Amino acid sequence: MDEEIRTSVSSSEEDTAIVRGFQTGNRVAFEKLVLKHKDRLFNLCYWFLGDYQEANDAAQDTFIKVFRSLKKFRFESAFSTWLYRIAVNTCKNRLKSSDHRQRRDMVRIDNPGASEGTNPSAEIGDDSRTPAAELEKKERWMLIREAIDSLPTEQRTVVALRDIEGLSYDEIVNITGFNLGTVKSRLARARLELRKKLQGMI
Amino acid sequence: MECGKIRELLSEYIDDILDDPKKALVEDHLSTCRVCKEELASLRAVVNELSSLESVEAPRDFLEKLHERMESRVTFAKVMRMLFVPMRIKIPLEFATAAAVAILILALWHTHQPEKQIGDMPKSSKPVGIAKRTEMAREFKPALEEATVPPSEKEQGAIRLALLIKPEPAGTAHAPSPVEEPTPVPEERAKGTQGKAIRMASSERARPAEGTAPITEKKAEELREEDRPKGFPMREGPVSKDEALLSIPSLKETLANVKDLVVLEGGKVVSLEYEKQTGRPESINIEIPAKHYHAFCEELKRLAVLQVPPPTISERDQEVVYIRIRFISSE
Repeated sequence: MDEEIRTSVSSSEEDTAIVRGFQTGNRVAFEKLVLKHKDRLFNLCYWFLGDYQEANDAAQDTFIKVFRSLKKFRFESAFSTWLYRIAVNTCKNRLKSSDHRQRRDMVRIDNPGASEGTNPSAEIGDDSRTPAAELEKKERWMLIREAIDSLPTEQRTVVALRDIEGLSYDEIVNITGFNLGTVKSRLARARLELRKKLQGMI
Repeated sequence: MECGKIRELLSEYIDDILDDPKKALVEDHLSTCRVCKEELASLRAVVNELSSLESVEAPRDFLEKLHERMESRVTFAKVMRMLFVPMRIKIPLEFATAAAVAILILALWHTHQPEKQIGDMPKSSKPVGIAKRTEMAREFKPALEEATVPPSEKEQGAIRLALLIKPEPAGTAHAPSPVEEPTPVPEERAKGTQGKAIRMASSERARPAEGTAPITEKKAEELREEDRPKGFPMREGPVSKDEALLSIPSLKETLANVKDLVVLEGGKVVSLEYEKQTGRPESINIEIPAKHYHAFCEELKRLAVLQVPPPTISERDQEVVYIRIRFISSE
């Protein structure tokens, strides 16, 4: 736990330094931020939206918004908190759009899209697995994906932030704007719901 | 504590965020309740399953694509701003004034253009100076035509006469002749002699064709036999209208007669006015000693066809009489 805190603190300090560099004219600083946070952000967007391409678009949109506002960032919160806040709002807006509703039935884990991206199923597999094991893994993945996708937006948010991204309750409060009691209750309900849907698997 | 209330705290217990008293209560219950213990286990399995999910990484070209999108957005935003966002540019007052003046000048220039166009008439009926007056005279045939050209001081008080002339065939062009200097006439010439001389000169020049004597019905009545020039065909009795029209002299004849008469009466030709289009003499301005005005008019009646009788004047009022004689086609 102490190790995690120390890592988090150092990571936060590093972000501060990079952001200050950007604010004083270092344009390369933004690229450093992107390279540092893109994977975690992408992962969050993926589990939030349930689609690889949509996750890519949402992550790109998030960084574009960050770039536009980075000069005015006042360090009232950690940079990562601010980054996730933008990402969650971006994903929520996408969930409301009709495009997402049409694509929800087209979730594929073996065809991430046209861009040169990582196939999530390839990530979870390795050469040593047997085909049967590979298939089982893919099926579990799909079940979890569908289970999360079926949750209400607010429950999905807290599950993705807490159980998938591993953020603390305080960070979730800062990112979502929910009070602590709301975060706890929504998370509890989300976990119970997922247990019901994944009962045969777990 | 009841199982229901314990289960509500299991999620927080899994995350280890319960305060110590609540934590102790839960642990105490779990030690004695197998159902809640199983509940906790299943819940913990879900959380473990989620936390162990393989991370989905961003595409390898994520940064490159991000740059492309940012550049295209900048261009799009610029274009949209240019098109829809009003410019807030401070324009120097001098530049704004100069632009306003230029626009005003342009507007005035355009306003004048239609006026010119309205004034531009087709060539065939284009009233260019004198030609315009001639065309108007032909169309409306006023008894006494008013001059459209601003008259000189002398001409302002001029007597205006109009002589009918034979209509000329189309395409007849006249070369404008210079204004003739009046030939000084000896004062000792008698009025009667002058009249005879004129008649003889007129008859020699005019020589009307047989049957086309340049006299009107009225003239025939006025003409006395002894004054009739030789060779000048005379008709006895009244003349018909058709015959009268046929007897109208041509422009050339009329002009020559008038010039000669002016000289004989001691006057002078001041100017000749020509139609710009055809070059045809349109009018002649002359100066006649007032005392010879009546004689001049009498002779003029014999030589040409006046549209209306000339006005009488009082010789005492003026020394010289200015007359403007217009030549009007009889068609």
